[in-house]
Amino acid sequence: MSKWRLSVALTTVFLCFIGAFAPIFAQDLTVSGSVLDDRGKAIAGVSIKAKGVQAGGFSDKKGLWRVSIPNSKAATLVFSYIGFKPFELKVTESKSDIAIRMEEDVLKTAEIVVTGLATGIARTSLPNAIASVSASELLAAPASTMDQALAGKFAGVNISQNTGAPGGGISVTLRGISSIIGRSQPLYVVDGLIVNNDAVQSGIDGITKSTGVGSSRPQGQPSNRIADLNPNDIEDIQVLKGASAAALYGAKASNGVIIVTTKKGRANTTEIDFTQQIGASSVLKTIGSRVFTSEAEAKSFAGDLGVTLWRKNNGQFFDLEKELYGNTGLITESSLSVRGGSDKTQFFVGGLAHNETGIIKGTGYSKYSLRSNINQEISENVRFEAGLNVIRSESDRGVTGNDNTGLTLGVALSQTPSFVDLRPVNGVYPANTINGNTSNPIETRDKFKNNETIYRFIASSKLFWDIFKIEGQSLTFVAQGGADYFTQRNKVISPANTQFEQGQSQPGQAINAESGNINSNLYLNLLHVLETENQLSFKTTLGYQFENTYRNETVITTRGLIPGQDNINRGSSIEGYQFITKQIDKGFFFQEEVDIKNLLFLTAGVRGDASSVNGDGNQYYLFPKGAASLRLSQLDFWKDISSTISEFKLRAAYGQTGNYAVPTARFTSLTSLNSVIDGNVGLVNQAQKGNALLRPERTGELEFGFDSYWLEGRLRLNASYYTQTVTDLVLQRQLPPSSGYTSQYDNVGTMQKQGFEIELGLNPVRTESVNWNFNVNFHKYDAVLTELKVPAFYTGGFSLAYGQYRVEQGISPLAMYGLDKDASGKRIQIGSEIPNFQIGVNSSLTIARSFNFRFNVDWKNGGSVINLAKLLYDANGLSPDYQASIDRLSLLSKGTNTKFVDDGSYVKLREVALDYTFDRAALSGFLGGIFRSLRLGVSGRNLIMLTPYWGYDPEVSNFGNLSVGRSVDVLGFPSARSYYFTLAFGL
Amino acid sequence: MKTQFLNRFASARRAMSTAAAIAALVVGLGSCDQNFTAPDPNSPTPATASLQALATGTIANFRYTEINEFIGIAGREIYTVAADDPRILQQPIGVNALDNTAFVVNIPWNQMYYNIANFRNLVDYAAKLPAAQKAGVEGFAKTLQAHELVRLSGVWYDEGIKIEYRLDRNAPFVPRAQSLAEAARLLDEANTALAAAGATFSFNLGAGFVGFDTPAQFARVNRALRARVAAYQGDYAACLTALSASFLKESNTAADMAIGINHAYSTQPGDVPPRGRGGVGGNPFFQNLSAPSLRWWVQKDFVSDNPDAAVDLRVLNKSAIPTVVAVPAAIGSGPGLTSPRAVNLYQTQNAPTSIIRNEELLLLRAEARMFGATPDLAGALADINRVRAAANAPALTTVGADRAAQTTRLLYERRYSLFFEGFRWVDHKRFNRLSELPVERSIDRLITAGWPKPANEIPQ
Repeated sequence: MSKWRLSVALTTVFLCFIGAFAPIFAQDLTVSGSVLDDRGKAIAGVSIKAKGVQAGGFSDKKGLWRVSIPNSKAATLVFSYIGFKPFELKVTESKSDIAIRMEEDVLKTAEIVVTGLATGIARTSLPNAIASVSASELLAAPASTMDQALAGKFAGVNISQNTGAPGGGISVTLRGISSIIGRSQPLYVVDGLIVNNDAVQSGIDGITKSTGVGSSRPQGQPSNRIADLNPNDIEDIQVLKGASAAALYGAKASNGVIIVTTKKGRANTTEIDFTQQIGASSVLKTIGSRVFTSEAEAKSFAGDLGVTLWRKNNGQFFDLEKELYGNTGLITESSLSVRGGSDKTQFFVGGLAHNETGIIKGTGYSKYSLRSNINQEISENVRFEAGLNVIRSESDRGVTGNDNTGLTLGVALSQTPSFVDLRPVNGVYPANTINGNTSNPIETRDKFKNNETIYRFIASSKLFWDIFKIEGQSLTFVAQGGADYFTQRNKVISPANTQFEQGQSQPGQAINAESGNINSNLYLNLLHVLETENQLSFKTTLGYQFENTYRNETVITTRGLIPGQDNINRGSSIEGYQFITKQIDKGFFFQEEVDIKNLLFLTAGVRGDASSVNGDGNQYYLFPKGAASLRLSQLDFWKDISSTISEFKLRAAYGQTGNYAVPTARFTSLTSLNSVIDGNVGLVNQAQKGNALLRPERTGELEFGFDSYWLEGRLRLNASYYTQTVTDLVLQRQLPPSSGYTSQYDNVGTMQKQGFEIELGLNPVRTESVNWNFNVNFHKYDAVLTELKVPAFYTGGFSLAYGQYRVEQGISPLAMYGLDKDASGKRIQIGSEIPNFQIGVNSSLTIARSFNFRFNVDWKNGGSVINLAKLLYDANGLSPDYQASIDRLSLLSKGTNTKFVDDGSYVKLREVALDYTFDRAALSGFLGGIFRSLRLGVSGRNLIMLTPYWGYDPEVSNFGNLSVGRSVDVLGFPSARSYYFTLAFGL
Repeated sequence: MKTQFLNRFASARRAMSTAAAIAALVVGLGSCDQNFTAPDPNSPTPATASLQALATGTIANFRYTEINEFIGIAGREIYTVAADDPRILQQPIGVNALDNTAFVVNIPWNQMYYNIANFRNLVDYAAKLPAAQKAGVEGFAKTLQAHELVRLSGVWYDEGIKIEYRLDRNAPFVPRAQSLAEAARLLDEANTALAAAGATFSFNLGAGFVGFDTPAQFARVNRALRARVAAYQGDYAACLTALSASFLKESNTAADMAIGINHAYSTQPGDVPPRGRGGVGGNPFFQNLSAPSLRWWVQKDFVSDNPDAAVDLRVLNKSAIPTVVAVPAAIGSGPGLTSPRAVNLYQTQNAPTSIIRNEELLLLRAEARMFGATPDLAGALADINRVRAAANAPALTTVGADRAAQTTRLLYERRYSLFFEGFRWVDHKRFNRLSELPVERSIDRLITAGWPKPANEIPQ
């Protein structure tokens, strides 16, 4: 508190000092004219702002504008419009009929990129490698979730789906992992609000018995909640990959930050856009099954039962995989947006109805979203923005992945031989008992329900108050904040009338899980800008943040459910589980940015964060940052080569970020485990000892790079090298059990990472009629644990015999081990999740401004997957490559796992789209010319996957979004490819 | 010009003081209303829990009896047929040398030290109670803490156990003599406390302690446990002294043999003891003799070593011929193990497990009378015959001519009277007779020194 009062007082003094030197003028200036694009078409809604004074406006529908500046002799007007380079106009006298031509910003040099909590800078001066993507680049082909649409688009950003189940479950890793057991996912900030991206468990693990309800390594593969956002609402995404850029978000940002800005209204125009997508999906890759050629083979596989079943089906091959995964999904998506407004008020409304059915019958995903954004100019010096997003999403995810009961489709499929036909006859599903099966997967598919429904409200707001604005300087108060609330309901029903349930001691199971989640935050910033006449600019930001997270999860499991009933009361035994997460955080932020003549840009800042999850909740941890960029191309000596290299910037940045431990780490609490006796419940020690000294994990990053534009912007080459040190890594330390405790979270490790990123953009053809853009991005990194103060251990996966990760000083934290040993008997590394490199290729070709062809290719080279899908098939003797499987198993029995830790390389055609757009001129004779534009297109997502991988998709995680332990394949939901037809029009 | 300047200055100052006020307000809101060191929202802490809740939880967790199975296999009393976890048989029977990460080593160690921590917690909690209540909690908790130390000390024997409960791994493993001395000290301290604990405990001890649930009555349990420690220490004078203050009852009826304290079970929802099987409540070692497969079998010599097997109720009631499974049953993986009878020590699902009872006290007194400084062989014989009479076994006329014969006699009676209660391996160890235990297969070994020191306890 006292620190705070002090800084507020100091700022006040500082500002008074500045205010005293404000120069003063006394004359009115009025200018007007029109604003056109480079083809001579009027642009409506261009924002016009006078530098240093409270004046400005917007262009109207015909591109006409008028600005009046009181008490002024001269002014600089800045015209800005998204996608165009800003235009500066200096006026020294009142004038009319000024025609402004704005130039399209193809290479995004003028794009404003975030540098602080309330500041940004043009990309040409940016001292960090911050990737960004705009609306048109984001959705070349439709995506059901936002994170899916990001794949392959940035260097250093690895997007990997955990499951092919409809509705998401996607991991986003920025420059590799920064934790061992901590959070692995970046922070998502939408319009200034931190939104929840947690994956809340459905509780299905309690039925598949893959693990217990509430496990720290759940296997139910839920979707993570960023999936709820409507990708069509997004105007722009900026990705703060490393700590040097993400430091402004301090202790929550060591996995990077993804800043999403949604579409805003436009002044003096009303644009209505409607898009209809219709699509279909089918399984991307299948595994197949062993082909049995004779009755004798069936007999040797399963004895007399094998013979009986072989004869029953006349020895025919029954493609159970096709039966289960061969459904053609139907996808429809309608989205409507209206953006418009007046000089004072602008609005955007976006609506979405998305429906899809999956490649497994009975699965699917639907999302309905309505967003409204309002910008209001309350007075000359106060502006207000508010956004409200209401979402309902629902998914039916089926039952796939690991289990210990024989229930999931994948596991049952892997142990059912192909001569068995399990299709129902007259509504009766044949029992599937061969080879230890406990379920008929067709029956499971038809009767088992796994439904998840989300209702979500996201409200965000921003207030800008120009406390004063005079020539050369301004002081602005920016308040932003809001709340993100969602409820999630999971209903899992395994009815009693199935073969699987009849084998249970209490047939008929249902899970009803409910959770309520709220995240709210408030950011208050004071921003002071000082611009001197000799082109120096100083931006000072002082901020305070407050964040609050609360979740209440309940899972109720019923067994012995009466057939036909799904109310949990109708069971013979009912079990409950509740878990509450509470976290409050506060922080302060100070940053100074200095721009010297658009040549040298310097910034330094510090953020201090305190959180209730730290050992000492009141302790502030400081996260400093500093960066510099130098535009060599602005210097005189560059003039000679500026025709070749028009822009060249060197940059260097350092910053620190943090990652909090689990909220329970500081508690030494009591539990009721095994504490019921004769109907009375008691309390005993928990096995975990709280740690009152626990600190957040800390990532420090040093990044160097250059950005260059060549040949009049035809070529863009950016490169970055980064080196990161993650200190205070949190792990669970084993305590001697004689103490009464067995574990304690502690800061016990250090990790080193380095990598480099290259982005190459080409614009080889740019004529009036043809425009071709071609971008390639490349990323490679490496990591090693340099210090570990606890004994090395295996983690992830299930056991060494199946392949596990190893956490050990001196090796990569993503190294994989198995039974394999070297000659001296020491275990040897047999794989690593870290790929050799990743390359993304994006291309867009536009012909005659109407025909557009785009594609996105994502290539991951290397990166191992613990392939238990193959092991399951092999162990059951049912692999399609049966002869090879015998060799693999024999190697395994001799103590080598290498055949089950596989190369997860792939090349995927993530997106491909072809469309044709009719503009207003072409449509003038159609229906009285009401259409502004009309677009017809076809597109596809994940149409092609090239991979040596044995299994559905090397992009897989049986354990969801873990930092260490993701790449484990246990026959999850297979991936799909999808095709779309698009009709879109604008009014 | 000057006026304008001042006006501007004033307005800027006004604006800035407003901003400062807002900032101060928000900072104030943020820091004052929120507790950054709030307690665990999911679980209570010892400070907020009630004494009864802590006592109930501690007593419920104290019901850890699985060690009787492991040490029972090591002591060749019983064999377990567990298809789900063959380690239960293989590790204690010595198929492979017990390593210090073995589950039969770590689970019992962890659970018994966990119980000790719970008893220590109770003592810590009691510090804030009025003197008599505090003494009652201390007397109760330290008595049972000592019992856990004695169990640990028996299983780990020569390897030693820890009597300091530290968060680092550097607490020493102390030899058995020292751990028994620590148990004796705790028991004596507890006995003193119980004497100052007033007429009643301030918490309910539950069904397992019926008849011993006042400080005065519980002191007799304390002395019984003290007598056991004294016998293990070879201090037979102290043993007899302690027994005289214990609940020992000179009797020859089966019912009186069972007098003592127990682990109680019920089928109330959620009543599952630690390591209870399959989430089902009740005695973990109860088995239904008409089940299609049975888990616990007696070692085959259990019947043939007893000349009175046809009448001795300690054979007839503690084991049975199953109704479905044919005997002799082949047991375990690999050839060589058979059993004539299934274990039937606990005949109903909620049959209690004894912690200490009168039958053992009579045998402790017999031991002390035989091996004390001034042997009382007649008294010893009378005690042994009381126990035998209760089991319908014919009376003996002598306890043996020499110490060796007397030891054999004692081990025999303890074997049948305390069958599958965690004693046989320890008894053979303390009388240096382990070599008498049968090793039926060439792949099996006897554990001779004790359970190994757990890996997690050894300094790195």
